[in-house]
Amino acid sequence: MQLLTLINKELRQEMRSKESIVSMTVFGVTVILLFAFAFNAAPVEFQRFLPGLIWMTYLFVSILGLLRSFASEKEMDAFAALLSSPVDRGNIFLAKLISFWIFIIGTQLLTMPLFSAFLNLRLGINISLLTGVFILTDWSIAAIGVMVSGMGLRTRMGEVLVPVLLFPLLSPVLIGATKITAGIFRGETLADFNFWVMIILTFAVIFTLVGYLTFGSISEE
Amino acid sequence: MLTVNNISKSFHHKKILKQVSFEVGRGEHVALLGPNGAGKTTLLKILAGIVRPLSGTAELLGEKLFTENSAHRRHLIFWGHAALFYPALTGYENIALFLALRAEKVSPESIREHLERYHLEGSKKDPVRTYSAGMLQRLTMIKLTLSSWQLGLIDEPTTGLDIEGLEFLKSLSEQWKRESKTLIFSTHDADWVRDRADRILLIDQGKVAFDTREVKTADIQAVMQGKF
Repeated sequence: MQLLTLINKELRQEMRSKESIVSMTVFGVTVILLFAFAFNAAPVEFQRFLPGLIWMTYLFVSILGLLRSFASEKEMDAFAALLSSPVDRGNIFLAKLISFWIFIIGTQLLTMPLFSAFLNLRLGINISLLTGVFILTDWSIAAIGVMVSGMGLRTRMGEVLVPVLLFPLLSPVLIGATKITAGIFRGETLADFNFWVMIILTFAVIFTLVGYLTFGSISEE
Repeated sequence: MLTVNNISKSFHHKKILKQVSFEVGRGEHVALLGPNGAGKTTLLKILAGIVRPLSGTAELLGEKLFTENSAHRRHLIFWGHAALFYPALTGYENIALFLALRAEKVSPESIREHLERYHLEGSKKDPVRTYSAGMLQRLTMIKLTLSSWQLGLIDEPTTGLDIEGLEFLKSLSEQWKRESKTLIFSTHDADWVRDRADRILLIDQGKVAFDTREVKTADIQAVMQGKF
């Protein structure tokens, strides 16, 4: 019940302010357009870089979204009210994770067509497989991102700490997601990149559990 | 009711609280006094579960504080310097959210009635981001009024209140006294201490420097002027 109340709070806040989704989408569009103009390569060449460009875009977008999402906790120190309430802190983590996961997916739904329009993303790929990879990778990004942002919330250098910690922690996940996405673009099957799926899945499970169990300690001053 | 044993806290290698110990009985209204930077806010935040102490223990109604178990926090409520609301949500939504998180059974009509009583009905559809400091304080009073708690940890409650807001707070303070609710509040308002406190706890340089249940105007003046 607490978890549902907290998720409802996150979604309601976003519906009111539209700060995360709008800033993530606008930033995503900007990065995609920058890539399109900066890499003035032939369409065939793009196919090699595209998986990396896609995940780099969503890494930047995620960092911006995380900073926005936690900024609302800081503005009137509402997070202190959460911490002083009889709320299980693991539930605070899960609510942030689930809502942020929804925000990333929403942003991707809005911006992915631009990869097709400007960066020559072919439409004849296995969409259901690609969707599965996005959902799993997004969960890992959200789990690691929310945990690191929780740590940054109570430190003066939080906005610097989040990207500095997030880049190395997310590297294996993003490498895996890029490899799988490239494989899907080449028409390969899931069996060809089992290893990377397991890596992403492991990160998703570990960071969800670690975040749930330790969010209380890491988010207190 | 509340027992605090040897609480210490440091920030950036600077010791803020040094082995602070005290006990508070049920229904006591304790004025936590001390100069700026003495550690009053840190102590209140530690008791509220917002800041983790470096060492020390505390018990509230027989339940240990500073543990992963969140259940004991149903007995306490914190009113801090900041408003502690979600800026994009309305006053009604913020109150409803915090009552839901505390599992309080309060009807929507009751929240609306209180918004009217505290003269916030005109802003009930506005996000609290647009509220003035005084309006936010009144909203906090509604939160405290509609919640069931035993220990109120209140950091400078009179800041930002206009005359009407102060009257609301005085009335609440009397109500809490009648209901034997325990308060620990920090303030720099000597009159408020004289009229509302039945105990003074002076924190200075991170330690309990003075503790008395005989609240005398001369002592308050001396504490406020830093003569202890």
